[in-house]
Amino acid sequence: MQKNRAFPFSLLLFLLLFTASHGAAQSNAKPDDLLIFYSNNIHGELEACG
Amino acid sequence: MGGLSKKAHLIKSRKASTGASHLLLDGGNLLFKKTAPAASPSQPVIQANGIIEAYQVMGYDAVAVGPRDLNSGLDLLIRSRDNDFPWISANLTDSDGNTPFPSHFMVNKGGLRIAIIGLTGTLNSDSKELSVNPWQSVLPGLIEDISSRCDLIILLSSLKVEDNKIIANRFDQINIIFGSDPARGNNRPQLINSSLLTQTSSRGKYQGLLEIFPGQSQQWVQPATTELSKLQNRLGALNWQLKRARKRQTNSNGKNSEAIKRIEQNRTEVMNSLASLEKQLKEEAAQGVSGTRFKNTFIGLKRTLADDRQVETIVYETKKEVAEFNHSQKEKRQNKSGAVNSANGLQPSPLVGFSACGECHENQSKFWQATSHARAYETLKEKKQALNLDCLPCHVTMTPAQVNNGQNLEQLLHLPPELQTIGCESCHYGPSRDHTKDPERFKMVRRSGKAVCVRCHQGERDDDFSYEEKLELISCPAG
Repeated sequence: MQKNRAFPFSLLLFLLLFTASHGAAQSNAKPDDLLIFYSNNIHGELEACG
Repeated sequence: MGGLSKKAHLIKSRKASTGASHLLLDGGNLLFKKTAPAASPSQPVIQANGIIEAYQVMGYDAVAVGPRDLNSGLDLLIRSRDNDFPWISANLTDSDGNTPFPSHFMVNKGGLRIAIIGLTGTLNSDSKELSVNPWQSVLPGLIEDISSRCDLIILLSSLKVEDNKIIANRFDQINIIFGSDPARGNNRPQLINSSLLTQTSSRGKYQGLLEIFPGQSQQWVQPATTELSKLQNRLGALNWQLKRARKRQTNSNGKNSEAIKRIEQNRTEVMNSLASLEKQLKEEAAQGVSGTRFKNTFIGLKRTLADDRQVETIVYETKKEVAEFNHSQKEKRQNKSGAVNSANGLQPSPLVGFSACGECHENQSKFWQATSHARAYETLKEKKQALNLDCLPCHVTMTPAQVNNGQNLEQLLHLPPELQTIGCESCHYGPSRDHTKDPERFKMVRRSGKAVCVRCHQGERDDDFSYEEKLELISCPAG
């Protein structure tokens, strides 16, 4: 009887530990490199003059 | 240099070649050239609509409202906002005290939660419709609200650079400030407190590219990059030396081999050091032992760059619309006889035109006919831009005084053929009409200075202009 009750408890413990470690790994994951294309003061220029 | 179709092609190709997460941001002052109000419809407003369309095609993530974007009022911006154009401003308010645009956007890129905030600089004129709140009254609450929900805070600001520095010193949470101070050129990222502060020069000649390599901490690490850039500079210098040495080798029948060998050896050593340092930096970043690194590049949008088809079409259609609009304006203004007079709101030009000059200065007139100045208007016509008010001032006869006094550009649509050229009076300015009657008493300027030339022959239009060299080519013969 005791053995039967221990099984779901250990499974639950395993799942908890797995979820915690997986979550921790995710939070430590380094974000990807990021490219930022930026500009300012275009001043209405559609194309180069000249 | 410059142009939206080249900008679009560059962004698209860089995005495709790296495959990294990316953001497209603009600090504002996007739509209008001048600070003066723009009537609607008008050439500036038609062009502004073209720019909005091109930016939407490019897929911009956020554009801060700058003071010059408001030249034609709020309606243009509201319409584009409702069409999903990503305007932001945390401090712009309408007459009811409401903020017409979102203060910020939150985006998720490559595992980073990023907040992008917009701040609008001082408005150009007193407006009953709009006002700008001081950043001190909006930023503290906003930063407090969003900082716990994001990993990176970016500020797009058209405030003066001095104000941006104060903001950087006050808010540790702001990671990057992209400025839009019209008085500044390309400013490499400057680390102030925890923020990188940068901006590009004006009129879209350069595209800014900030590459971010996240590390364990968000603290910016000044590029180890000091060493890396030293090596890159050294490599550039050696490449240049090698090119010159090889050229000399050709001219001296192979007497320069030793020098070439030496430079090549040095070059190999520098290239090896560079490769090793780059590998080390990558490994450090992969292990997460360093802070966040960055690399900034200002990419010149040169004429040799390819154009993006879709944006090129938008530019073409916009120019066509400008030409049609200005043509209809010209027709409306000019009466049936074609006369230009104050009755139809136009002032006849005070200039006499090249033929009147040629009556006495025959040799000079013949010489001038062969210069490219004489064909300046024709080149515009060939490009179907003879009704473009942005182009006309550099292709017709105008004196420096007319330029400096802010000549009503619409007048240029009504110039007589005599002035549809860079004629004599463009350089030899003075009391033309009086001079034709009494040349001894009323003198014209004989040799104009460099300032007269560079009003048109400046960087963005003429990259290689040399006053001394070009003066030789256009100086009229004596006598």
